[in-house]
Amino acid sequence: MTAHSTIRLDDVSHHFISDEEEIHLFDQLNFELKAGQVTSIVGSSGAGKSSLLAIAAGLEDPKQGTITYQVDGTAVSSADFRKHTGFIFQHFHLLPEMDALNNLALPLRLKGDTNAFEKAHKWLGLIGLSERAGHKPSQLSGGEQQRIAIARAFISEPDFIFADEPTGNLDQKTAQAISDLMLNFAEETGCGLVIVTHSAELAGLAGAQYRLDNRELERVQ
Amino acid sequence: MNVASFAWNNFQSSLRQKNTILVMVTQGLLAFLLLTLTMASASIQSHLSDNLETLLGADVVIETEQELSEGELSFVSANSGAMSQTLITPITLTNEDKWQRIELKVVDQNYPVQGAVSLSESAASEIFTATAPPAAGEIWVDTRLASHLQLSIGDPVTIGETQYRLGAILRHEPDRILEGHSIEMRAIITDDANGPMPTFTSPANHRYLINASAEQRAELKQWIDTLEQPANYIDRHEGGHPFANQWERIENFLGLTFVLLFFMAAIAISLASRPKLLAGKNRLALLLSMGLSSRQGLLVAFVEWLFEFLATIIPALFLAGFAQTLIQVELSTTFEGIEPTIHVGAVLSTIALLFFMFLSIQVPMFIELSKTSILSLIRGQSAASDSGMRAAWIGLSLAALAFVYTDNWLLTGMVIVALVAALALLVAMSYAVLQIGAQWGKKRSGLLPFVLFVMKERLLAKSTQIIGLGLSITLLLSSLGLMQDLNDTMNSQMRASNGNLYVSDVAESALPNLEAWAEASGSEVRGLDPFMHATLVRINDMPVEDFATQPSEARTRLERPIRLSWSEAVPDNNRVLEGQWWQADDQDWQQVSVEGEVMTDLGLSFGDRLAFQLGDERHEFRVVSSHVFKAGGSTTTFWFRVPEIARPKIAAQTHYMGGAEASEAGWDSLSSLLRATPELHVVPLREITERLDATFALVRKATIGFSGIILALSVLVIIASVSGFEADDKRRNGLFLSMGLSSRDCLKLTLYEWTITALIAAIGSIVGTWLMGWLVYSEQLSLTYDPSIALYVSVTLASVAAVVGLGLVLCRSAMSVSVREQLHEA
Repeated sequence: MTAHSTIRLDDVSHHFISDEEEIHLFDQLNFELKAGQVTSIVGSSGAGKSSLLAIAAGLEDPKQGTITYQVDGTAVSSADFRKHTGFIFQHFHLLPEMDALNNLALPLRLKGDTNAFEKAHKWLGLIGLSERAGHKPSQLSGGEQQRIAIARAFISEPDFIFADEPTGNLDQKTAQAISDLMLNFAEETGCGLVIVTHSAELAGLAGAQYRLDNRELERVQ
Repeated sequence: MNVASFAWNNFQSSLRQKNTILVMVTQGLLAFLLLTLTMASASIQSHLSDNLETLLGADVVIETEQELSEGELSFVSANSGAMSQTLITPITLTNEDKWQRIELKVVDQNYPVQGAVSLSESAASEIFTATAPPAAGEIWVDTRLASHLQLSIGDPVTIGETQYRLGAILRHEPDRILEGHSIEMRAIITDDANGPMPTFTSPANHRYLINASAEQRAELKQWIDTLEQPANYIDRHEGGHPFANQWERIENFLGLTFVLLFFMAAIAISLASRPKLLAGKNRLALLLSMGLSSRQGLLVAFVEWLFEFLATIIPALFLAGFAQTLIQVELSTTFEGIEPTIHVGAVLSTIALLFFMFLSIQVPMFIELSKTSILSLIRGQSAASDSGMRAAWIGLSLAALAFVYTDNWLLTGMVIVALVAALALLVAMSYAVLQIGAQWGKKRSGLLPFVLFVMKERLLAKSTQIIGLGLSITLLLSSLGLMQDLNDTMNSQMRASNGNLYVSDVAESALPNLEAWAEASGSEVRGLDPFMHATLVRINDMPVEDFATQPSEARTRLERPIRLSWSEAVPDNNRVLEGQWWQADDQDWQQVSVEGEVMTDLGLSFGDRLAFQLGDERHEFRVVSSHVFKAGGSTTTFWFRVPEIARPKIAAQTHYMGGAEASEAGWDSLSSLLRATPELHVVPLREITERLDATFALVRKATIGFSGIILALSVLVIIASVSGFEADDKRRNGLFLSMGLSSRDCLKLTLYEWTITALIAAIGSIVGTWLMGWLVYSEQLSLTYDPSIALYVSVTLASVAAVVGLGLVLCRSAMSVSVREQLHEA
């Protein structure tokens, strides 16, 4: 992993059509995301935070503007870039039929890592859930599920991780623990962490803080 | 809260879900089938009953194998207004070099006692009636016989050495119903002491047409049970059409096939209802959080289901009514004059049956719904589970349905055993392939090992899909295979070893004539098997109908004389199924071996005592073994066989049956042989195969229809198995995409997954079908099971292609939005 992996948005605008009405989310945004940096984006509901995240992650094309992805200093397509990313969702999205260990091993197995289970065991230890390896998601608390989801995002050592309201479903104490876990992992692995959140506490922990409001992205800090 | 309007709103919105439509289509198809079957059956039953009212030709009919004695006849005469005695016997009729095996009715001067005989001068001329029998020396023949022998009024016709003159063409006789739907050609002569009369050696049926008052009928009915010989008693005023039992058996068979169809429908409904159940639980939890009681919530769900039921039944009812008018046209060829009528009672009881059957599929869902609580909204929705309970409940409903319909427990048992075995095999294969595959892929990279890993982790969901698909393909293969295999096997057997002339009955006294004909014409008589005509009269000292109460083919057939054969060792074309065949030095001659299906149909056990009427004697035999047909030797097999040492103890005449290969000269001289030996019964094989072909045409039609329905249900199961898990697959694919998998790889992954799923299902179903074929064909129908590999492979490949194709289409449509949906799910 290297700090030479970047996402650059130039003059990016986006809107969607609802009932024949064009609803603009943001206009002419310019900013850069870097591996090794934690970035937070806050904003009111409906401001377009999740859309901005989806566009930055290469899941969706903007209506206007260009996005440039670089991995190790080399420009890559959005499809190739996505092989170097991970996600953390508000609703965790663990596969219900798999136990904690298998959920954690999933991205490694997907990438053909033959040591997937050994690594998954190690990560379970890191998040303090070694004892819960054989438990299904329905047998785990929300906080435990999100810890596994975070470890799952980091386990394949991506350049960027996109977190969509990662603490939105958790109580304050658990949210604090999850935030610390996420930021520690980001620091240890050197990956770029992009967090979309309503939580001022979580947003305040990021090195680069942005606010999306009135179609504009403003750097807060 | 207005439960009905609330449920109606829910029902309306659920109509937008494709899984609801899938469930409704499946229910509708099944309802249509059963209602059509009910309407057709009710029409036939009512036709048979009307038929009995008008076409029995008497108030009471008594039928016996032996002629009633003088004393018995006096009793009948004393208890009747009028009586006519009739003898019905098979005989060969000749006209110059043409001959035909027919059923001859020899009537007395009192015939007919009710109604009139319809006659004409030619097949095309006007019909007139007669209330007296043919004059002495005169014969009446039916239109087909007249045409076959090219006869016109006044032509001479010979029976043995006795000559008759054709007096009229027989169109219809008042007691015609008693011949039922026999396709035998027929003729009538009068038993006139002053006229010529041939001698009859074949077993005959003695029929007594009686006009009697209610008191006289009561006397006769009581008296009939005191008769030594078995007697068939039919009272026009009491119903009981001679074919009602046979039709009931056909109905039962159709009902049993309905059990299989219901099984498939239950699989499709269960699979398609899965997402519906999750949505229902979520909705109910929400309603509970708004103050609704759990009871009210369940009531809403039930009323919503009720709307769904009505929405499928009403169109099914109209479609079934339409289908019945089409079926009526087909039926009118067999049941002349059948009227299309709607039998409200029968239709309502079928709707009630459907209601309970569909409700039984829903019960596990209602139970799951009843477990819903507001907590599920707080703790998150858990996936619908309890597959075991659902499977057990469906199994129980099927067992109940099978219990209602079956009349052949061996056949039903074997079908069920084969299905359960196929199911166990599918479960075992799913488990083994996915476990071994996942183990194999543990230290390997690539998409295939990953797919096996994911599939193993989703073993329960995957097994459900595999079982559903596997059982559908099994049933599809079985029904398609049945048509082809039955046709091929029977054709090859019939044409293999019997020669071109089937000798159905030759008395020992007539054997020299047959052998002389063969020698003179260069023909060859092939393996004749000896037998005696016998009637089963008692089982363990009870009348047969009291012992065997279930209607069955065997019981119906045993109302007439059967052929009792003997042998020392087990014949080449038989094998012992159970029990102990007698030893060569065994001195106990009163033992009998019974054909396996006859054992089951009659409910016989080893040690039961069977009393046979053999001519004037009655002998009792103890059941010691059961046997079945084994391909390879002669095609003639007997239901009952006794030891060879029994033969000298019985006075009855020996007869033979078998085959002959007639030469050209043999065909030319056959009519002379038949004229000289009227008791010789032969049928050209061509004629038999023509009859068989007609039967096969009917079987083929029925099987094609059945296969079509199975195919439609298979398509529904395939759609349900893919669409029932669509939401899960969508969520999972979204997750994989978020982990950097490309859409192309995701499609490839889906392709692998569905191919593996469909292949396990297909291989399991081929083995299951083979098992079913082996059990049902070989053990039940005594046919060599010879499956068509090409048919199996093509049906299997088509099913696999359909499953994979549909899986890919649904996956592709869901792929583009899946990751975004997860991001925006909040």
